[in-house]
Amino acid sequence: MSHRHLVLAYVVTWVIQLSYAGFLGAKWFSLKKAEREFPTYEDITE
Amino acid sequence: MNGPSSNPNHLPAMRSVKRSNLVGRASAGAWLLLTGVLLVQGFHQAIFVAPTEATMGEIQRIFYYHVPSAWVTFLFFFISFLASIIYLASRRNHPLRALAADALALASAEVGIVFCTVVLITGPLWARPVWGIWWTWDERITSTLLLWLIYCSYLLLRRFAAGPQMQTLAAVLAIFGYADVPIVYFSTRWWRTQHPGPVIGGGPNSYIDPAMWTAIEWNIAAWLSWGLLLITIRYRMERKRQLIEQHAALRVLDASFDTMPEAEPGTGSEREPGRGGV
Repeated sequence: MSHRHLVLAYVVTWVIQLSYAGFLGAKWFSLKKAEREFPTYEDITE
Repeated sequence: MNGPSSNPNHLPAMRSVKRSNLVGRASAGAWLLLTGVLLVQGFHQAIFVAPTEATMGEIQRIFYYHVPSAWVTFLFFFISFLASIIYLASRRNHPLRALAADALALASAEVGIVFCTVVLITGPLWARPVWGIWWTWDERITSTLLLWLIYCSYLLLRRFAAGPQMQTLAAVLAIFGYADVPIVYFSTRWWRTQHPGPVIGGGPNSYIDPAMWTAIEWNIAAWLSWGLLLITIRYRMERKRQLIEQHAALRVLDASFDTMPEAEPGTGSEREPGRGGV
């Protein structure tokens, strides 16, 4: 990986993908919070 | 709260839900592990195994992330396109199926945009040292940018439009927006673009070294697996959000029944106290 742009392309790809995964994680926590307020059938049976 | 868990008749159902949750978590873990292995192998193939390209040198290795991301983008937008058709076809007669299709359309469009963003960033990073410019308004690149903008507007519509027509409008946009995908794909065949021509299935002049092809295959498998994992997670989250929204609406409805004045006895419209009509 000697070329600067090659390193940058691979790093940017991972940053974008992991940022989206992080966004999903944050959204998941906010959903869990909303779920405590309005439990669904699945949560009642758990 | 008087939920189903208080009823002993629901115990087998509860066990079944718990078992399916455990199976779901185990398969998600296995899928994550498999994706991790594929991504490591894809990286290894792209950087250490695939031969160095004769003219471009090391910079050509961007191709192993750029091309699989483009293909995965097309596939995910296709899933969104199909799910949007299912939503429109079933929204009146099968509302539950329509809700599931809507969640899938949203999830695949969102993950598709993530991959399209990767394509639009890795492309210029390759173009600068090879062409000497970051960007050119040729047909392939412009139509790809347009595709990204169409699906961004799809997400904006879903985020900011209100009312029951939002999902229908979003589905229509996803269906019409997909018309850009064949234009992106065939643009290098229809026009003389600065973007390189197809290396696979593009006629007698399209050729790729088999060793390079192996790296492409590994990266397609890896990014496809990663993308499908993200779609599954996003889909489940959207379904959960729909359920929460429905339960919240039902509670409001239930509460409104509780505040209604009692009907006159003998009219046939008496309700049990504390029980709504839902």
